[in-house]
Amino acid sequence: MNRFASVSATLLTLSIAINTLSNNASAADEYTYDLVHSSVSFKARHLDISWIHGRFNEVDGKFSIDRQSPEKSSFQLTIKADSVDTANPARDEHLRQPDYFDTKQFPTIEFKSTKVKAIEGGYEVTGDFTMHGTTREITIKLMGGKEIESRGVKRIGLSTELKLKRSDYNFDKTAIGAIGDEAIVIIDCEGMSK
Amino acid sequence: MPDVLLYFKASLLTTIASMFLVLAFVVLWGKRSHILPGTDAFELRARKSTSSKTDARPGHEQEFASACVLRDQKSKSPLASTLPPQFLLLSAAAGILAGYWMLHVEWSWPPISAMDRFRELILPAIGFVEFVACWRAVPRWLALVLRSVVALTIGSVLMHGSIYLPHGSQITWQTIGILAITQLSLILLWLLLAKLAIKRSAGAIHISLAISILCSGIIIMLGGYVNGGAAAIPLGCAVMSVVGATRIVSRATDMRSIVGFGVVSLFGLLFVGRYFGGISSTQAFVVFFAPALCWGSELPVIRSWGDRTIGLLRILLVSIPLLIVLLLAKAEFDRRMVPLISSSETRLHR
Repeated sequence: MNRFASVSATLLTLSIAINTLSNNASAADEYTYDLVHSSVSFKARHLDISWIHGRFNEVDGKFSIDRQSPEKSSFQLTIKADSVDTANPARDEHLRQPDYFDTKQFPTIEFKSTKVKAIEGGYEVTGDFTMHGTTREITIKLMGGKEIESRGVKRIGLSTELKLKRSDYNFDKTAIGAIGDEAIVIIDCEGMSK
Repeated sequence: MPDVLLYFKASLLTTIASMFLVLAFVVLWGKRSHILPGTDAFELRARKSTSSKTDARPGHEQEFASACVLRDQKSKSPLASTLPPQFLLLSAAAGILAGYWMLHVEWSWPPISAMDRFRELILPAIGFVEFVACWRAVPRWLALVLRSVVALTIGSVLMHGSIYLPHGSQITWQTIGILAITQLSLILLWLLLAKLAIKRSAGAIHISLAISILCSGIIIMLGGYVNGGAAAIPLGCAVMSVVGATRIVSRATDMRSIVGFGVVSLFGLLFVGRYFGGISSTQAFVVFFAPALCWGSELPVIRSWGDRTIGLLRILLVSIPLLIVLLLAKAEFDRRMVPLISSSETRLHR
């Protein structure tokens, strides 16, 4: 009888532990990047007097957010460099060439998080940013995180703005002149989770 | 934006560097009392001491100087190259490096772009192969193997890591087709020019190659790849200046190495311009095969003309399609750029 009780207690403890672990593992919400309601845009100086604006039309990504343990969250974004769009086909074609994005050699621009920290109003995300064949560690502040449910789909919104220098990513330095070295990238992302 | 003044400076520096080195080599080589074994001049000296008078046929040295590129033919001329072809390659290489220095080319290792691979792998490879192949001690079959290796791998090297040949992915049939067609075209042109180079007026072939290389650069620039087109300037100028320098010294110089170097340079530029830049297949095809029009001088009616006339005819035949392609490329460039330029001008005039 005593033996039976001790075995039962052990089994019960084990099942509670397993249940707790399972709950912890599934605490993160998985989202996919909603292309229709998101945008990745950029602007760069032209002749140091004005801004040229553009966007990337083909973006894909996914992220998981663990509100209880934000450090377990992860963010991933892949941008098709070929989808650059500055509302001028001739300029877009020029940007795809090796003097700029070299999209045949480097078809994607990617970001993959390595560390996430919760901050007031959002998350501070550190990760590897790969563009033009060069990977650098960057830290971005993803602000937002408000979540709603619409038509059975959970949605979350996050935004960030970051500055990048083309010269840091092995872009042709002789092509840096009329178009400024620094570009400001604005990412407004809506993720959806079913 | 293209910097025309910079390109002019690069052309000038390449020309001066290459020509100066050729002339310097000629002077130094002429002063040498000891001639290295394995070179043509050494062989001829040895032969001269035991040769008969029948070997000293007039004009025979010129024929030897235009020896076959892919099929190293042995010659019995008593007065062959007085300057080893390796020196021409070294002079061209020095001129090219000087030109790239003037253009502020950034060298990256490992190479990351197709143009990096062209400059840092293909050009040194063909330079080395031609350097070795011209050595008389090197057997004919080895020279053919080395050149074949370059011809059959250049496409894969240039496409490495790109969307055509991505890492860790299976090669597609489309890419296989592209590589097969382009590399066979390279071999075809190489053989055509090699065969023609053993006939007379070989200098016109080299000049045709130089003109085609420069034309390819302009077309690549007009296609939108400015730095890719600029890479052609030192190459074309180096080939032209090495040929020019040998004309100045009026020596029968074996220039067979320049044909291989020129053909591979032209191929590499057009390949990068087509598959990474903005030039069309038609433009690439016409510019690449333009030098083959030198064969027009071998028509029965024309074959009997003088050497100089044949040379000029060859250059003319090659220049016509190049000029047409250039004019069409310029028209296309103007059509695409007008929306950008005219809107800026409209704002300025208000």
